[in-house]
Parts: sequence; structure tokens; C-alpha cells
Amino acid sequence: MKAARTFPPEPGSSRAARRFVLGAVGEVRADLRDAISVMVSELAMNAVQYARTEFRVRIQVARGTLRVEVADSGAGHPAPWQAPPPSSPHGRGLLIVRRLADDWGISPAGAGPGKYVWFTIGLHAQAPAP
Amino acid sequence: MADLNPAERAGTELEISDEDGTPVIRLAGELDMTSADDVRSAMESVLSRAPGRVVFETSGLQFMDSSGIALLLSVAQQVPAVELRAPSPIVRRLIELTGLEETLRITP
Repeated sequence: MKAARTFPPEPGSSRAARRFVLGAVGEVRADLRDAISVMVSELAMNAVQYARTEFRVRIQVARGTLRVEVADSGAGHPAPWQAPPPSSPHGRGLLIVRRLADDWGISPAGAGPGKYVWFTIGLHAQAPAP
Repeated sequence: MADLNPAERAGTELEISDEDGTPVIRLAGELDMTSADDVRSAMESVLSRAPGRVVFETSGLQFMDSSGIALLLSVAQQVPAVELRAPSPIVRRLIELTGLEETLRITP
């Protein structure tokens, strides 16, 4: 299964993007649904807040794994490696993606200034231990 | 729908009550970048009274992302004790995986 949609750089697009992905993925376990929603929301938010360009969400489900790519045309790359201190309210989006995804990455998108950020998550994985 | 406040129009239900002088803010629905600013504005009257402790009751919060975390942390900068009561699974998971349990205390 493959699907793609483009969203404008406005706040409501994070919600619209996660509705789109969840709708395309269909029924999944609640904790996976939560994780997918949060990761899509974080990547969409990065595109809206930092890249400030329209962004394209591409999804693919193959062999029980969901792969989501969010591509924007903005310059600059997020710096996801450090967890900010509690006194800093912002800067946790990609930290969250890193912790929830099975795998993830950032790649340049073609020749322009843009990039795409992607993640994968298994749709049939065992539930995490309580 | 004329009665909805801006936060509710943006997707986050919000109800403020008082428990022996401690403000209790019940959040439900979805808390994301669409609604975070409106939720923040709706809490200003509570925060302006400089409470020593604020309780967020989040059992009905079906969705939250890092914009919700940012909102809660900004409250924690103003209020000495911020408590998350009965967090929904997604809220608990986000607090734990960002390592913020010390700042945003989870209670049953």
C-alpha cells in the first residue's frame, strides 16, 4: 500500500497529516496508533515551524512495516541529538521520533535546499511490556 | 457551538476547578500545535495567581505531542509543582520517553 498527500505550512496541517496517515494505515493496536500519530505530528510540525514550506507526506506499508516520509523544501536541518534540559520547553520533537520509531533518518531531498525525514515502525510488533 | 472557547474550538476541552486552593485543569481531546496557544491563554487567569502547585488531569487526553510537552514545561517554569494526574497512555509514554518525570510528576 502506498499513499501521498501535500499539506500547506499552517498549524492545522499537523492534525491533518496524522489523520491522513492513520486513515491510510487502518486498524492498528492503540499503542501503535498513538506512536504513529505522535511521530507524524512531530515531523509535520517541524516542516510547518522550521522549514515553513508546504510538505509532502508519503507512506508505504510493506511486509508489516509502515514507512512514513515527510519532505519539505526548507533550508536547515534539525538537530535531534541532544535532549534539552527541563528548563527548555522546546526541541523534543525528533527526540520523541527517535525513541518511538524502529528506525528513522534525515536525507537531503534532491538538488534543492529541502530534506525528508522518515521513520519506520512495525505494525505487528509485540506490545511493549507494561 | 457558539459556547465553545478558543481552546475547545481548536480541539482541546479544558475545565478549570479548585481543590482546596490547588487549581485542577482537566484537559481532554487533542492537544497539539493547533490548540496549544489557546490552551495556554485559557490558563493565564490561573497562572497569574502564582499557585504553588497545579494539577493537570489528563485521563481524557487522546492525543498530545511535543507542543503539549512544551506547554506543560512552560507552566513548570512558573509553578513550583506541576502534577499530571491519571495521564492517558500517550501522555504517560511521552513524559517517560522524554525523561521529564521529575519535572512533570505523574500521580494516580
